[in-house]
Amino acid sequence: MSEVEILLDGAPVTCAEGLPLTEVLMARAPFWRQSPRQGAPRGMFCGMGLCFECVVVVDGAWSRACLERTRAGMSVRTDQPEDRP
Amino acid sequence: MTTLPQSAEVIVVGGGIVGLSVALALAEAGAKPLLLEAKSFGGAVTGGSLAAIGTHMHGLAEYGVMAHACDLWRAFAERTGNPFEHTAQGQVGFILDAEGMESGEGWVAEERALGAPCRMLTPAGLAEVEPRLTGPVLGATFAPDTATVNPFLAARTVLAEARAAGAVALDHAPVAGLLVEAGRIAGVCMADGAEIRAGQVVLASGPWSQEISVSAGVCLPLVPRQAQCLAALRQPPGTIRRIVSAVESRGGVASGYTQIQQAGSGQILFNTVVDFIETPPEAKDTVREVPSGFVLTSIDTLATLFPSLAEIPLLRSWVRFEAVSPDARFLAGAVGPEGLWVCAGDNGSGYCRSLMLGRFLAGEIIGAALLPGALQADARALYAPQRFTQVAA
Amino acid sequence: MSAAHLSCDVAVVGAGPAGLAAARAAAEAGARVVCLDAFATPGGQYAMQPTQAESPFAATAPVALGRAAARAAGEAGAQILCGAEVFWGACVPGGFCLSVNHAGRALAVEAKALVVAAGAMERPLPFPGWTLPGVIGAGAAQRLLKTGTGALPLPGKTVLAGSGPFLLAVAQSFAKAGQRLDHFVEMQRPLPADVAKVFARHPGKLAEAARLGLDLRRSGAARHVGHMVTRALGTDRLEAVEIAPLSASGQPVMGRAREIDGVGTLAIGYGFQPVIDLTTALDAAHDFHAALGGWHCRADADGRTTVAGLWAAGETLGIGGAVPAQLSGRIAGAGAARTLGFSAPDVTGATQALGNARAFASALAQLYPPPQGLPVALPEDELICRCEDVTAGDIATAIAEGAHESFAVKTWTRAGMGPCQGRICGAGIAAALAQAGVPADKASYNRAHLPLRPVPLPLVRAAMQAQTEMETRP
Repeated sequence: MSEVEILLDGAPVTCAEGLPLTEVLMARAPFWRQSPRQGAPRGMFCGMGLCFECVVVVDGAWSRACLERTRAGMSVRTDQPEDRP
Repeated sequence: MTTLPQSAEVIVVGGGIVGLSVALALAEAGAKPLLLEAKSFGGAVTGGSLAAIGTHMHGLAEYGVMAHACDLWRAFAERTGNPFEHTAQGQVGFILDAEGMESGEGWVAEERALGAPCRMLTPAGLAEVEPRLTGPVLGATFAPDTATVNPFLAARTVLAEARAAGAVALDHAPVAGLLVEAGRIAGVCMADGAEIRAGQVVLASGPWSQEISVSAGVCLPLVPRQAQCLAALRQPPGTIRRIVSAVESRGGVASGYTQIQQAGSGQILFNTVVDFIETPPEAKDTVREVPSGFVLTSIDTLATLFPSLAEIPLLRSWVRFEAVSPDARFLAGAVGPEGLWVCAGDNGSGYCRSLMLGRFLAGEIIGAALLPGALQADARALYAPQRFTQVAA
Repeated sequence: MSAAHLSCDVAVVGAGPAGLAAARAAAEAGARVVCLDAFATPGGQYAMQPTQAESPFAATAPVALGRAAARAAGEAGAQILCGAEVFWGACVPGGFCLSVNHAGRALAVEAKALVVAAGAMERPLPFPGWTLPGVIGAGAAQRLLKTGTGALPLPGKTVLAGSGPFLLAVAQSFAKAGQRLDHFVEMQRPLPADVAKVFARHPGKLAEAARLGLDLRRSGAARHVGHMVTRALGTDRLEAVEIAPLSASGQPVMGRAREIDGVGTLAIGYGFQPVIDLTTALDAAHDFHAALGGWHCRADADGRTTVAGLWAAGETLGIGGAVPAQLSGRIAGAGAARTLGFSAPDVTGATQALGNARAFASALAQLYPPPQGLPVALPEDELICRCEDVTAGDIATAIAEGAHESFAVKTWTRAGMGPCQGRICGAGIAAALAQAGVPADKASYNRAHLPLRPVPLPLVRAAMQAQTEMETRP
């Protein structure tokens, strides 16, 4: 297994390379988004790119974490600059 | 989804915002309207609308009735507790060139003379009114009283109020034609062959009105025109504060059209039409997709005016069909055989006029003036279907 | 940004068992083929490829099958693009234009014929607590196990629940990954005589079924057959799961409900539904069959849809599993190439085999009929639409006031207006409409529009520029 370091909300995290990003995020906490009207906590649900519950910003781009694979140096933000009322 | 009644006093054909408003006004006036919607309430032209409520850049002839139309929406929101997001966020008309500046100044001068609170904005003034509009604009018109409503929920509220006042409204009840007996209207014929008898029938079916009216020998000069819109993903509140529109050239046929606004949900709605495309009459009966060229101009306009939004994700697009009349004004009034009425011809901005037109037409039907002062007569003169020779033929 | 451009005879959307078979068949006939898939590697859900070299899944049969299918398609000359999500398709003169988000860059694919093998997605049915973090789809759990480290990332007990043979496959993935499965909750209890009848007719499937059953027993999970999850409990994350046995009429017996506490992950699935966004956007006809997962694309025996040049294969045509998917892919790929004038291989054998494979799938669907209504009555404040936070109460009120189809529910409540565009809430809305007396075929589906998935404006622009050029070319 080759290990890589990614930046998760600015903090370095070491993990295996090529993992679904959702696995790394879930290992930290089961949720990282809030729903738009109730502000309820949300984490990965469908895991296959269709529900958009796992959305994060990867290297500045709005992305579904379940479709992202961990790679060295990727910067992941979960603090929702968009998608919030 | 209930069994159809066999007869009604007045039948309103069409459950868009115009038909619902007619049914509401009739019910409030004591008539017992039966409204028949072919599919879902407010699902066609109404649902695709951006539902701006205001007088700015609509022309001087209609200014008085439009101002009253805006008052009616404000009062309706107050009376119902505003479940349909009526918000007076104001309207900015952006100006990109000298010609636009002349148009904008012309609109503002004329409307101000009639008492409107609109004014011109310098780029610095615009920066305060619409901070993220940082594109290359020379200035803007500003109408602080223009409002929007949620088009779906406003239709739903009008429906609920109409029912509460005694109207019966049925969805998935398509009308195929009109019954005429001894030279006067006798009711409607449903798509499944059933007949419902009524002494008065109002056609409020937007671009479908013409197809229904021909069964009574009436040719309405209404043609469908495809219109479309894009929606981008939810953005923080206040990203776009006003309705942002192009300043329309005055007097001439609109050569281009832009409207950009942030919906109550946070989604950014935007559309720019440079050339109105040819719309075959049957197009309105199929599900159509937005033309690729329209997507390009809409994205380019949004990115030019709001550079900070240039990379947000697109969420959705939709197409609707407006009913266009030769002079871009509604047809509202008696038409053809006795007992037949029409209220259609939104020309893309029917939402604002709907409550006013509903009251006007209900007044004509019951023989009372439901619009105040001279407005009933003004509306009669403005919207008389007889102004077109085809109608009489 | 301007779009990269690819031109081909046959474009195949989806690189699962159906798409890879279609790509291979068309390429073997001599057609230039481009096969697109949104995921990072080919294989689809069934033949999903592990990311870690030491994964226990590296040597499994489906993984080997997926690798072999991708290799065969590639050797036949098909170009397989992964991380390539199709976000729009349009008819243009001479064929189709696909707009693709290829790893953040715009790609326009021009094709004379199009085979849609977009696969299936889970058919999530809402139940109390289903939005709590930690509640995930059964397919999502399998994807994590197969493509991740093999251990589920949330601490706590694991519960696998729902209905259908796929649950057994997921339980097997737990075992294979070495991930502990604590509870297995299956709603249906097929009669042994019915099960025997199915395998008497399809004896070739017996070994696989026996292995699935054995692996479930080996997993050590407590098995609750004829039970269902009635609630997920927790404040800001899943903490406990309530299960109850079903009465003869299929209702949970709440007096015998019990709570499983200390749960970190509840993986739940009530079957699959066809992914039909591209085929609906291209205006192909669709039909509704509950046993096939609901709305699916209509096609003839060769996979030809009602739109000229548009073919469909695999679970886009109805849920049936990997074997029919592969066969229908081969048939549609060959058909698409043949129609373009290529001498495609004879697929008579595949057509015969497909009949048999579909018969098995339909027999399984009879053993495990996909529940059409909501499994448990929802309290008014429970969500049906996760994207826009629309509650069951909001939706029931809208239906009572006159929203009598999915589209009307959407316009009055916003259910389906968010980023998922109704994919996740569709089954729940259909169930709510059914409860109010609107049958599924009347409730209809929300047809997809541009874009099929949210995509940044610069990509949309670049792709639409390419589409405009194809539309206006002399």
